[in-house]
Amino acid sequence: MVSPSRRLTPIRAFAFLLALAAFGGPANASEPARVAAADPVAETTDGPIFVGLNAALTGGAGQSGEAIRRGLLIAIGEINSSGGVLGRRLELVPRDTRAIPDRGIDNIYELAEIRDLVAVFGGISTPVALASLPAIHETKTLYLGPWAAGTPVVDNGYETNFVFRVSVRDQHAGPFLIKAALDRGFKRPGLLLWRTGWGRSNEAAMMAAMKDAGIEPAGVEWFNTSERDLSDQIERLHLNGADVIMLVASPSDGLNAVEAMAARPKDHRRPIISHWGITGGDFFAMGREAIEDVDLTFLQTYSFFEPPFPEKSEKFYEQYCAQFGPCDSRADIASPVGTAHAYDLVHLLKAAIERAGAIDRAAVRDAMEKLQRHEGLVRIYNPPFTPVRHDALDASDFRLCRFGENGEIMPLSLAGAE
Amino acid sequence: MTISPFSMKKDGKRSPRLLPQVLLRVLPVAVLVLCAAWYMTHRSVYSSVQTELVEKLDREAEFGAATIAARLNTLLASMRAVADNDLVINSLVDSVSRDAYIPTFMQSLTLPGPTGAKVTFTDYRGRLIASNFEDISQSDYFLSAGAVDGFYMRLDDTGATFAVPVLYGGRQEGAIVVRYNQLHVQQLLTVSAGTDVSAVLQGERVLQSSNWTIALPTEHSDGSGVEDRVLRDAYVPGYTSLRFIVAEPIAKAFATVDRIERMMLIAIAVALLALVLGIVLTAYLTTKPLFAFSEDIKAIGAAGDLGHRIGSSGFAEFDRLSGTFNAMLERMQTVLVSHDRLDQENQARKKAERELRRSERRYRDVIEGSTRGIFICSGDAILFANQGLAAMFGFGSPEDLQDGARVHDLFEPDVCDTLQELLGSEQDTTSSREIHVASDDGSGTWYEITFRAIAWQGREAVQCSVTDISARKEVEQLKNEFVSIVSHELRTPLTSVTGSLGLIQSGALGDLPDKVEPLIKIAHSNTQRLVALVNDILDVEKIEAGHMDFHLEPVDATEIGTRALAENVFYGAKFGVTFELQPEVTEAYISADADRLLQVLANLLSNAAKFSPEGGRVVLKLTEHDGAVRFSVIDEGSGIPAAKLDTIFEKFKQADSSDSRAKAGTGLGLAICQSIAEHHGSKVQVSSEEGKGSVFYFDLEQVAAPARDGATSDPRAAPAVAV
Repeated sequence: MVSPSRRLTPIRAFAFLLALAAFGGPANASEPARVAAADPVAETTDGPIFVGLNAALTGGAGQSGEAIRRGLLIAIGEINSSGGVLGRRLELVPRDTRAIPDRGIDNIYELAEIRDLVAVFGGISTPVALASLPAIHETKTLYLGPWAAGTPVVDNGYETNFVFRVSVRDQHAGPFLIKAALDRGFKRPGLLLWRTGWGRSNEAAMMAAMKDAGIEPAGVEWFNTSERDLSDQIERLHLNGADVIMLVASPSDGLNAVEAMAARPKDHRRPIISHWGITGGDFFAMGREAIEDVDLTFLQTYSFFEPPFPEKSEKFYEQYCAQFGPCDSRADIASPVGTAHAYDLVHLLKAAIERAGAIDRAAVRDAMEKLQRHEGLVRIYNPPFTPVRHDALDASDFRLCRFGENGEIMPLSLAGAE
Repeated sequence: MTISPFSMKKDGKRSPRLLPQVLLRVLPVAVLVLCAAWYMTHRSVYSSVQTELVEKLDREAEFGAATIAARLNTLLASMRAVADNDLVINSLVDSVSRDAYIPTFMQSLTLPGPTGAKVTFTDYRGRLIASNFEDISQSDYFLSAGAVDGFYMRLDDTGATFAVPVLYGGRQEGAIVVRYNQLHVQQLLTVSAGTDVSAVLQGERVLQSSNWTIALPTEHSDGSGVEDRVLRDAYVPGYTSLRFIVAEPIAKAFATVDRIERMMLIAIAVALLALVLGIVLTAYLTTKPLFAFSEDIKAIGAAGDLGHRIGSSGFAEFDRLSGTFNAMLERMQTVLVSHDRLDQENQARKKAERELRRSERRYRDVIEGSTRGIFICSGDAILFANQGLAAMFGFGSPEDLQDGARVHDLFEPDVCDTLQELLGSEQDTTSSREIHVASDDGSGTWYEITFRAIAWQGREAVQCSVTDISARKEVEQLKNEFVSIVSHELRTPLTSVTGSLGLIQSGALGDLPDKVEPLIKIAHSNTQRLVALVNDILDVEKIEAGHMDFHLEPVDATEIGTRALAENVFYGAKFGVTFELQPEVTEAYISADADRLLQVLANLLSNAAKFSPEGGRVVLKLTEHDGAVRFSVIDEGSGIPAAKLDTIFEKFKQADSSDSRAKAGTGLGLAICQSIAEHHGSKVQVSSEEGKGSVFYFDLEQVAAPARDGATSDPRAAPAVAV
């Protein structure tokens, strides 16, 4: 009577067990279960110096994490090939956050357990970075952020701030983007923001900038992660007279926004000026058609198409292609900002470690604040950080970009104003 | 012969009996067939009932399973809806909004199905993010497991746990976990099935049951009855760890079948019984007549009675047999009877032969021993002669006589003529004559030959008996002489006495004294009587000796009648009887001796008068009768008793032989009449009725009237008979 197909086949059982195993044993009391890290613990002082990478390596923003990793690896490769740091080579310990704060937190704790791990590089996600702050500071892990732009990430209120960033700071991004809107003649931006810390961070910055500019937003609309249909928000902004949409979104959510915009009748569409979150994934490939129908510009910092130091850029590009090639063009460097920032951060860390003469995190942290002039890929850092400024970049590093025909991130100055 | 119920043994040979043999042959097959029929019916009925039952149970099971699946699907769909909620997903990423919205969201969450479910929102590691129950510290950490498209379901003693993944970026980053307690599980899994028992099982564990007192087998059932129940199950589609089982008690389901089967068994038993009875009856009906038949045969054999017929047994087949057998018996009987008859005939013939031989011997003894000569001749040949005859004629033996002599050699021509006449006569016609055969010494011997016409060995013959009547002749001679002498001697004195007395009585000699007259009268009449007697005796002798002459000549009947009356009228007057003549013939002539005829008539008339009452009448009637004239004397007298009618014509016989002798008579009268009548070729006959009268009559042939010369050439005239 029972059809064999309904039985628990071995495959299903295996899958079940696999899934079961993937999520650990029975629940117990309040402590979260800690998974023992399979980390290569160096027992001797001649062992490598570990640096962790806590970023979205997979998922919608996985491209960003990979970009950061590549930048890290190029820098680490350079350093290791020139004697390492303190005679020790650097080794990268990557961890995937999948842009989920809880994962990020767990990873921090995990990474922090590693002896001779001196620093953790962060990822694209401001919410992850923000959520990681307690763990970072609890474990006194040096956190070096190459991408997450939320102002509170760095301005986190910790007295001994273990967070250093070579990346956009929303406080600067907001005004930049508003100015970009104003420069184009828009007077009533509508804000379409991701309901996260990052969204809130940008809301504050943009509102302040608009206030300074004496303009009123058409509205502030929020969307949730994975909220598919953003047409209501856009419609509301539109109805409120938005002439430009200021977008702060992750790649997948950004795509929802762009698609929602593209779905509108042509004369109902509005240009979108977006933060750089959308470049954290293969945004163009994800939504090419919608993107082509929408006037989309976005914030970037470093561009390999318009490098401040072309020789360095060239050299980097060669290294990049050598390690991660083949490359056809600069466009093959995906999510270039993460790569470039990460590259500079490693070199800065090296300098700090050498300066500290040890890999004690606190010592290195202190050394970071005392770094002297450093010539990086992105810019000349002079100094990179100060005790009261842990952000290395400012608005002068910003540029507005657009997707090229093939999805290359082109600075407007090169792409031509629309 | 020994008989047992199963066989009969006779002469050392055992032969089986019909009934057990038939039963032995029929019953196994019948039982087999009935068993097969029962079995097939049982199977088909059983299987059809079972099929129906199974189908019904399957439907119920599938319905139950589908219902549960629907419930679970609905629940999981709701859970997925929650998991897919972008606010929920967002709260994975943003703790601020999580804290702002999720608790309220969870609290207000209502899932389909049992109310009071504990819903928990967990992170990627199953750690609590938010829940809908107040005391978070009481919460358990839930497993969240399952593939991206799937769900997690765990049912155990404490209740049920469902979890769906919260996906972000295509990967599970959290879970919505719903926790039900035992009661909730019961509610969730309770489906009212239209069966006796329904239950939900997971593997071997009963999660829910409509009747917990019934222990359900947890092993997968293929529908065969387990214990007293038929189970069917259906896996809950989509949740195949769950099984919905329905059960129906076999007894209830198969009650009808059992009843039918019971009835069938009874019917089969009855059929078998009927079969056995039918066979027994048939055997009985068959063997009973057979036994009866054999008994009949035995009886026939024992009694040897072939006339006994086998009775009908009432069956055509057996009747055929018995009919055939009866026919055989009949034929046997016929044959036997024929044999018997042949036997009997043989025996009879033998007996007859013996008898015949004995008789022949007797007769031969008689014949051969007889001194008479007995011979049989035909024509001139002597076919047979006895020793007596041979001796008579001087032959040594009959054979010599037969060979050597002819009739004419032995007897006179008139004897031969008589023989010749008799040859053609009617059988048993007799005749006799006396012959005198001269012997050698001159004397002769008187013989009487009696002749009888016979058929001897198929031919006409005459049997003759020759008796030596010498002695008789002598005696006769002597007697005749004596009678003659005595009569003459008597008559003479009698005549004289009579005459004298008559004379005296007539008064011719003077008057008689009164005392003397009657005496004289008496003496006279007596002497007259004596004279009459003597005359009669003499007449009789004369007639018998053949000395009486009869001269026959045509006589007028009427005239004779008239003369008879006239001559006897005084006799009649003596008795006071009148005679009357009634001649009814005219001109009728008869051939008769008138005187003798008158004598006859006188006698008859006197008899009639004698026996008629005084004043009576006697009629002499003359009638024509067959060409003859009948003389009838009719009286109205006392009649003659029938017994005496034959004897009255004998000598000395009277009708009344009592001592009273009222009517005097010699008793010879009728004898004389008869003799005379015989000599006329007639016979006196009488018809009489006692008390009424008598009629004496005789016939005489009519003849032609005499020629004037008195000669007659009528050949019908009786020849004179004289010796």
